Amino acid sequence: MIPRLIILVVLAGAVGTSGYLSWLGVGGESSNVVSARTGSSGVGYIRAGGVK
Amino acid sequence: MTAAQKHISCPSCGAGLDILGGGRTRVQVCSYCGATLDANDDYTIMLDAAAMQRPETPFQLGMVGDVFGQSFTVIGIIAWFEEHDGRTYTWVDHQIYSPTHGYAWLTYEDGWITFTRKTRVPPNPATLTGVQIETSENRPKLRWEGRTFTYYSSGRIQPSFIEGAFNYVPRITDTSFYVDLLCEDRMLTLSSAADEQEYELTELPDQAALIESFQLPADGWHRADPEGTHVLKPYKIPKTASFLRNVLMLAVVACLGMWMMTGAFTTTLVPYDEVRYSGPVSVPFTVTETRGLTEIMLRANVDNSWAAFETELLNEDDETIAEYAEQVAHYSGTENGEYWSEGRTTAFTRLILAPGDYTLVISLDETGVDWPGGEPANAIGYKVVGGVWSTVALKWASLLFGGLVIAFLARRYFAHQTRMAGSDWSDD
Repeated sequence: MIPRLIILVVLAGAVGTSGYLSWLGVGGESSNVVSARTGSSGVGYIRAGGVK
Repeated sequence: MTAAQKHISCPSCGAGLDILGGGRTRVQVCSYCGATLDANDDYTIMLDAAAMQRPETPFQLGMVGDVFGQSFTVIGIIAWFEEHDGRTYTWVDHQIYSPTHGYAWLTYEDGWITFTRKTRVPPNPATLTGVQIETSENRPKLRWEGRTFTYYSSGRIQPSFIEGAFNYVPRITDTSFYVDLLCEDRMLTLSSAADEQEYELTELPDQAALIESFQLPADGWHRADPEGTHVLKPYKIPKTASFLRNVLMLAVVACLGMWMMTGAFTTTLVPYDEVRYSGPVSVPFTVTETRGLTEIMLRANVDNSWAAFETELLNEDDETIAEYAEQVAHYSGTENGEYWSEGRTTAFTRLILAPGDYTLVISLDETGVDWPGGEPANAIGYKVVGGVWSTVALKWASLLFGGLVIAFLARRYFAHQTRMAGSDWSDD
């Protein structure tokens, strides 16, 4: 039973994490967006750069 | 253990023979000279002696042991050979007898011992000829007792050694044609010799229990690896692995389900609007959600033409924080009466934006016609949506979990292929 419980917990955690990351929008930024401040592509930087 | 025995002297060579088997025993073949004696006529000589080479087998006449919980005595030994594609295949059948369960067979082949018994219930169809097999497009199948059996092999076989008592009259010169068909854990054999058609069912007993019960010798014969593959040994996935496979399948379904729902939880920040383009268009919007992506949709009324956008994103202090370019193109027409189209009039860009006020400045940087009948774009449309899910994590999770499920299925497929490797069926 213990291996089954571990399998269930690990996979439920993996599915839940995937869903949570998707809900946050992680990894979904378009690559053609360029930061006007640093010139780097992608927009993850915008949050890091601190939009006022 | 050996059975209690009666004894006779062979009328051909004078050797002492143990008499085994029940009331339906037809013949006794002398272990020393090979003469066939008539069990129904005071063991007179029915067929003359024949020179035969003794095969390798762990069994001896008179051995007693349990098979599927029933006690049987080995009463006869008959070795067979079959020539196919230049190779000779051999195995040894042992006729066994139980006072309560009658006659059956134990077969020793490639280190494995199988149990075979006759059945009076014919399959549907009741016969399968060599011509039918040769001309069949797919593996022939037949039904028996509600189960489907699939063709495995066929051939013509002949004895090479006969010894002991039998409930029929085996002859060293007789041949018979057999067809083997498989279901998950049983083999159905259609055996025909002269005008007689017989049906036999073969199963794989617990090898260790059978060896112990018959007290087979430890040496002098080849014993198969108990963990090895046998055609009557169905592939069984361990229960924990089976549970893992099922949970993985559920995980794939859950990920795909969430993937399909990613478009259902969005907030419209700027509803779709379309304007005639006469210069850069400013679109203010406010991001309220702290999670998810902001998706900007741009559209141009391209018609057999293309258009390029230059877009700037300003913060509430009118500072440019990001910029990007997009291009759309759409072509369509009719060729040989068939309508065709390619390209798209819309472009989607996704950004992660912190909550706050933003202004999108859209410029139709360039538009051009490069197809007959085309019109340059002169209007643009836009829409901004917030709280959009990313599909990246769900995609990779689905691929990972789906890949593992496929690995489980592939393992089962290859196990089946290995199990069927001894079949003489060819799809060609």
